[in-house]
Amino acid sequence: MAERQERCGPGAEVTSEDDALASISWLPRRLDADAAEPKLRRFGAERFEPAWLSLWAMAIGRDPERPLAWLLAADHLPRALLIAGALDPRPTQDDEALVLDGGRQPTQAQFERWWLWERLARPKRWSLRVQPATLRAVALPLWLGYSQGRSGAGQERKTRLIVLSGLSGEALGALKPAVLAGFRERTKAQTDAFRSGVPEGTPEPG
Amino acid sequence: MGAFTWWDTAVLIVYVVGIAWVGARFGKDQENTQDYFLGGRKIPGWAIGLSVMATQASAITFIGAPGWGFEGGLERLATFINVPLAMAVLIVVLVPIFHRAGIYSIYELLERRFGALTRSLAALLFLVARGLATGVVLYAPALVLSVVTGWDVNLTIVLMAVIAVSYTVLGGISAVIWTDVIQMFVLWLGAILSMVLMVSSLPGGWGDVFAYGAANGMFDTIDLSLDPTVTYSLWAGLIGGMVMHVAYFGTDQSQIQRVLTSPSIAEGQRSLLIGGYLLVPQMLLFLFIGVMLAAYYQQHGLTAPENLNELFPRYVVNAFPVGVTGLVIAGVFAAAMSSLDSALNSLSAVTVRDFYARYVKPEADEKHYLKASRWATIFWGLYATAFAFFAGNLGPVIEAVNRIGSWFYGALLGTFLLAVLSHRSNGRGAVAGIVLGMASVWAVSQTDVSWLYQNFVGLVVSVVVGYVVSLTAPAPTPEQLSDVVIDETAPDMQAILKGRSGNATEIGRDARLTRRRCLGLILWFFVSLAALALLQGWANG
Repeated sequence: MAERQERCGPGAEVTSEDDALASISWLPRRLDADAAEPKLRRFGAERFEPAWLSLWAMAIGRDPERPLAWLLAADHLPRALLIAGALDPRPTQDDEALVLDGGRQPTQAQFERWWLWERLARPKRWSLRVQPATLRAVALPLWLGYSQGRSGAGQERKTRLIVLSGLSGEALGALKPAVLAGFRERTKAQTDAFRSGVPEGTPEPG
Repeated sequence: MGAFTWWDTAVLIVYVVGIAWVGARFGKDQENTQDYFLGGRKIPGWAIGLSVMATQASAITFIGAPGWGFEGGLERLATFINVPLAMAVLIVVLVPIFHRAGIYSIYELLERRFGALTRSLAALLFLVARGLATGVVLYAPALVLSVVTGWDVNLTIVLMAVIAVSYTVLGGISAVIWTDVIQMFVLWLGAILSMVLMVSSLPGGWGDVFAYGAANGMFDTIDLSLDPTVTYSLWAGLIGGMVMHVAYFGTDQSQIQRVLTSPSIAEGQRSLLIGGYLLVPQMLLFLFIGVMLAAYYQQHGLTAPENLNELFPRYVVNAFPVGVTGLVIAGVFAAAMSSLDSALNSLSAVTVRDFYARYVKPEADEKHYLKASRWATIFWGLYATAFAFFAGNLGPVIEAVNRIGSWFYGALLGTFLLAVLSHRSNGRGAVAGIVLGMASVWAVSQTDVSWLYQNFVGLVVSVVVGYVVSLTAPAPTPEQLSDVVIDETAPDMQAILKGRSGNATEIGRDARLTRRRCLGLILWFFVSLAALALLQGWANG
């Protein structure tokens, strides 16, 4: 736990990953199934389902009370997802969709570095800072599309995954490795639970 | 008419101050902050497109292309005819991988795939190449200032360098997309007005232009010669030029940065699509102005200036109505500043991220890196200034910029293609490929072979050498391949995905969005080629 507390840094509102996960914020699923379906179809998907990916969010702005944007990430991701405006989170999950673990909490320094690289790539907004006090666990709504792909000579058709944001409807290729890792983690947990005879429960994010 | 008057000076000052005011006023408010985070998503696509065009060497095009067209007619379009195809390759092959990898600088991908040495070598190639090209970009507005004021061009180079570096260090104004849009309209207004004025000054109007162009072979765009020493043959343009443009738009951080900072793959692809459709017509427009200038000079018995880069600025100063001259010259300055700001920023960002924060001070705070990036901007400003003094000897600035890129781009693109397409290649092979690829380009540059082919030679040598040398070292680990191999194809993951897909809701089939977009670009390439062939056929009776 000591190691986890160090990750949040001084002044942080959230003091451990466990505390953060207990108060996970569910971001609104602005894109419903009717809107997601044609978008996924355009990317070649044949089947689709909703899902959630647990991530860590930190606000960007001049003060913590008025965030202008949010960085969403997990510690193993090379780059944070930049979301403009308010997160408008909900206290509870509004559907029964699959919940995937997106990864562990990044450090404050990681968030600061991501924000620095973002501004070096598009110089401006030097006065805006990451706001450590706003750190929170969030569940990002996703739509997962499955495509059977094309088979090569003598090769079996491979199932492809398309990850679409449930917030904006954009394809999020950068989150695909995190989703696949979440799938793998979930399958492993199910296998372990089956071997130890413990009934399968809903996977916990984080 | 006939000179740069006080009225023109006043218009120039009002324009530059006005643009700076728009940037300062609207660049800081809440709405623009949201645009910054959204990558300008609330702004119409056509405005984004014009902004893309504004940062893609518009001042260089304005100054260099008419001189280029004056010298060789529309034949030079062979260099650019491949752009729609190059954009299609980028959209299909590189952009999805760059986006999926979640990188801020494309050279990071090379580190994960091949190791730190390859990343540093590739980033160094970019810095050297872009730094030199920035010297040419700096020379262009300095030349215009020299023409307007009569001052020595070396003095105006220093003056422009001080303005450009100060402007960039202070933050620039290019965050405001609308200022780029205004600049593009002003430049195109200048182009169209010059055409109208030239035609009206010729006794036979358009007939004189077309007769002169046809009689002097200036509409012979498509040269099917297989001789590699023919500089602007269709094959040199398709083979060498396409490699050059894929490398320029895909592996040059100053260009791909816009795609990497786009909120989604689709947004990133959109800016490439716009370039894919608009660059060829824009180049055709300015080359055609060169043909018109040739007819104009011949009809009026004028002698062309020794430096053809001065040709169009001189015409604007001498022929445009009072006030409009100042407006168009101001547009050239503003466009050059936009290009310089973008180039200096990317040079500074790569210096800090790929070298300084990696090797010199890895754990410094944000303020320190900001200060370092400003010093890096000043350094690259000095580097570009030093080269700008020689840029006048390199011929038309538009060709000079592309020639400089051709020394580096083949090997650079080869390394990226090796990373993406060959899962057996490794760091040793990549480094050998870059070094020998560059050496082969140098060897070819000593011959009479068209400079456009240098790109292709660099690409082929770096890929072949890279692959062969890779066989002498162990294959890359799965972690090293993680950015380029989609791990959904692993057998265990396939089982998971098939299970989930089987239980998911079914949706209908449709064409893939990306494929449709690329088909449009390929169609556009053939339409452009057919139009040029028709013009050539007409000109040759």
